[in-house]
Amino acid sequence: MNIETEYIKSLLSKYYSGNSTLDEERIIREYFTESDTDPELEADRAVFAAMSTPVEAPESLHAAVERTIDERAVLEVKRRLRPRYGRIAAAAAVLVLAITASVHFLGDKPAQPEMTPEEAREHTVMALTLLTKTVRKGYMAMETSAQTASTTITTAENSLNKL
Amino acid sequence: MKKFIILVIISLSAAIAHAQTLFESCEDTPGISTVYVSKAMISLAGDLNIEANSMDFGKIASKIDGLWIMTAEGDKAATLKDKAKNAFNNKKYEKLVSVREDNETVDILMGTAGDNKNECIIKAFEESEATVVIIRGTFTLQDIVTATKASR
Repeated sequence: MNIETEYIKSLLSKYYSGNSTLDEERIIREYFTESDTDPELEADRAVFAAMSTPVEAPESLHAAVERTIDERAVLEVKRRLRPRYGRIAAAAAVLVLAITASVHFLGDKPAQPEMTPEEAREHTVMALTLLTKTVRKGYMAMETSAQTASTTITTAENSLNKL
Repeated sequence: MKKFIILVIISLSAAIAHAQTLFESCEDTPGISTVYVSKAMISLAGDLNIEANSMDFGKIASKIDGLWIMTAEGDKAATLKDKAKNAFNNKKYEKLVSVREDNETVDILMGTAGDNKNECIIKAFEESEATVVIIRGTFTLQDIVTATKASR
């Protein structure tokens, strides 16, 4: 075993353990392209010869790769659009609520197409008359109570004075 | 964004709840008559000075934003009484006057309706007749007292 073979073996050891550099891998490849390689390294030469031969990928693999890429692209687009859908849905919900509220307030407002100004006056006067008459009754009751209290106090004072 | 949506939903719910007045409830009840008089109609009503009774409601009427009147007779009187009891049975309204005469009881309640507006509720109940009047506007208690003195 010559020095070159020893050197290549050390590089192969590093290569198989995954610690070789690109330059070292290049040296190995160049070594195996020469015709007079050490017979001891025949198995390694076969491995590198196989790796250096271009291999045509099967059509199904191409299709599978493209399909995977397309699917990931679709997923990415969906992921980006998802928050927007959420916002659009939220905005739509608010809009529906606003429209419902508008219909509720405006649509159900008591319509008064048939009320005449005379009827409006009649209802207003009726309501205010009921209000003021009741308040007045309250006043009168208060005044009556005050008068009764005053009379009672005066009577009591007179009785005390007589004593 | 979520906070905004929640805020909007809560605001709308509160507004809808506030707007769900006794009047709207009565509108859907057969047997209860409802009348709404808007500020515009009151302004069209013209002179509210009733010389025969020495009444002048012009000043207070100009401060009214709307009148809601509900009346019911017979069996439906009890329904209106219950609805009014539920609607105004809270601390928002203060009872000003309560007059009981013969078979009739009249209560006047006063409360605030927001935006510097007040709400005056008149409940006139008899055994088989009920009337509820809601007067909403910028009038004050003093305006009611003034109108009462003017109508003496």
